[in-house]
Amino acid sequence: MPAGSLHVLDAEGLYVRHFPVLLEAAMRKFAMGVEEAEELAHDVLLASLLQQQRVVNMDAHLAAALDAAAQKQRGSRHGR
Amino acid sequence: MGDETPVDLRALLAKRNRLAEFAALARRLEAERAGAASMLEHALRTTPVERWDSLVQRPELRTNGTIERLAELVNTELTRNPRHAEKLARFAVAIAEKIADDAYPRVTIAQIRGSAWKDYGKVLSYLARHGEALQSFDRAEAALDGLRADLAHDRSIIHLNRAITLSEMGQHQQALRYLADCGTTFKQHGDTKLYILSEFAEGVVLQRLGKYREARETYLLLLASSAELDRATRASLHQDIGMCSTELGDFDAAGANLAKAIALHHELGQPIELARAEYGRGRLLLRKRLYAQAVEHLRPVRHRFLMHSLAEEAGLCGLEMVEGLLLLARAEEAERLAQTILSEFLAANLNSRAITALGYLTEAIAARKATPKTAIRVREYVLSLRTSPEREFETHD
Repeated sequence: MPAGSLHVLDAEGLYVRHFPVLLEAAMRKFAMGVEEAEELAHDVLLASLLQQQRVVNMDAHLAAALDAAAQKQRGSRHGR
Repeated sequence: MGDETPVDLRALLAKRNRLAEFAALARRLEAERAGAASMLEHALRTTPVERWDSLVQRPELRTNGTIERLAELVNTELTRNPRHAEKLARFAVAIAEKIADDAYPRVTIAQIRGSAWKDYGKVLSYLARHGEALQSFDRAEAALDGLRADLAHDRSIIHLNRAITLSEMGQHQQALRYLADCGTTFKQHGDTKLYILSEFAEGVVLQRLGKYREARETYLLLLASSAELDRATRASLHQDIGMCSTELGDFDAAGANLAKAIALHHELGQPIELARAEYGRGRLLLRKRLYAQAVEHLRPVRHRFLMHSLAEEAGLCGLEMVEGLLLLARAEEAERLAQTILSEFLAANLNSRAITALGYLTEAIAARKATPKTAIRVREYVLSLRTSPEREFETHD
């Protein structure tokens, strides 16, 4: 397997493990509705597919990515 | 109300569809990576460079796998053959822009285009085409705009490259601001490798600003940190700590760190880095006023640079020797050496301003009007042309 690739089973495992955690964090920490939180969590996980070769700690990476994404979303919502 | 329950049935169903999309993308990216190397290299080998534009029309090449493989080739070629790296990076941008907007999820498309433009900017920066490099970084960042999720990690990679370019342009304070921000982001995102690189870059900028104490502190903190440093990074850190210590007059620390750097470069089989560390040791001898030792130490180092066609570094090393020779009142040798460096610069077609400055030095030594300070001034001027290639040489002492 080339460096940086993620086996499909690993990918599914990563998604199943992290999606609910990110979803809940987006809803609780950033007071998002389910739909908005789902979209954000999904985008963060999609982005991780091209970033994961650089990442040592995926838990920390996804949590930080969600924080940054949610803060931007909240900022643009308030800016409207 | 769905909004009141963290994970309800609707969310779970949505998750299944999303899970299928995620798994399909993971599978596809993996398949593309597996096929990209041979397909791309065959296409590049069998198509003349001036016709690479036509390859953009081939749908099988319009993939993330191609972009990732091109990024690897660009990184390999960057130091070996930067002009070829520029062609590869330009080709990657053309491919990335040609990938259909709906070929991947929107966030993935943004990452692919952002990465291709970032790599192109990195090569342009290496070629000292700094203005164009900054424009490429603008394009890279623009590719990431307008998404639901802010891709802070991807954006910080662009910022790191932008900071390095800004520092090359002499805009050190702005570079430091970018580096501070992206260092924090890399740390938060668990990207140890880029965190180390951004900290290292901060040290380099401080060193360029002449803030040797702060630069050394940055390197020492990195060396003492829990971050896993590979041996090449350790070698570079010891080398730069040694260089800063020399400038600070802390000669014991300079000697100890340069010795560690030299041993590591030797173990790693890095001949050019080894020559640079030995150059540092020669400079240290000069600062310790061991002029004859410094000149003899630098002589083979200069030849090593020449063996690797590094005429500019060989010249800078030679100018340290000229300074030493003038301090030893060996003006004839200094004159011959300055003349040799001038010929090497002419042969290598280096910046004409550097050639003018060297011509001035040669004439000044011939007229026995040159002082060691003249050699220092010419060396510092040649060095400054790396970041300010248009700077004029002032002949008065």
